[in-house]
Amino acid sequence: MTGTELLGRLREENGLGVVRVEDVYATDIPDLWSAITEPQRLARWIGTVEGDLRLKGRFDAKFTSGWQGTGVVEICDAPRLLRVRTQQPGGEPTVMEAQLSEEGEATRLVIEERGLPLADYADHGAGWQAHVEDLEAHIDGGEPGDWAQRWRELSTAYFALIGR
Amino acid sequence: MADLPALDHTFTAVLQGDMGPHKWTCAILRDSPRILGTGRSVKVDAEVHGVRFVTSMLPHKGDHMLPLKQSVLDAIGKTAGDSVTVRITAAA
Repeated sequence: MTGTELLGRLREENGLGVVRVEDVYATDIPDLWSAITEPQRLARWIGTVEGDLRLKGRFDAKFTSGWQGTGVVEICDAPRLLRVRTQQPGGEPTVMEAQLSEEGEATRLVIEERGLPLADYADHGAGWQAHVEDLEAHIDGGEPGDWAQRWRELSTAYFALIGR
Repeated sequence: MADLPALDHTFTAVLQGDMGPHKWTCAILRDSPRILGTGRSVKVDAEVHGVRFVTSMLPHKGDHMLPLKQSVLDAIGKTAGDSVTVRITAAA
């Protein structure tokens, strides 16, 4: 991993937090789409996702972060745009969106999570960066790192973004 | 993303084949974090032997690699093992 160069940005929208992380991956757009939509590949970098992964389908997810909840597929425009509405038990719904675009031979991936409580969005910024670094390792044929340790390394920088 | 308004760098490298999951042919830029100002990916305008294209320099084992499409390799008549000279400037 590369120190604490931040891949993420944080912003507020209507009193709620938005996390946006983006990076470029050494693969083509069909392969990156597969890595973020197929359960056997998701399991290699972010966690277990089970259920109906089609448009309007419902699924259960448990990420390496400990995040656990349900989701509904709102947009599935392969291989460029995926939007899911997710909810933890007892929590408010958030939206997770992935946008893919070609950049030379490689592929840029932008992930946004919207609708986060302002108490939580810096946490999620550090968390998403740790996840997408694991995605990079997976694309390069490697294994994920220690998610919790990486989150701790990054969280100070993300809290600094919002002055905490 | 890194902000590189002043990037204008020319380097020579021996093309390496079989890079990444798609067996790309790449020019490796040594000592790249110092030159590019980041260890992350960087979007650049590249010029190789008169052929210009926009691409991404991707992190590779502490350096960066610049993948060349087959169409570019064909246009310049180069393949893995050949030496190329690459000029990179900040992409718009």
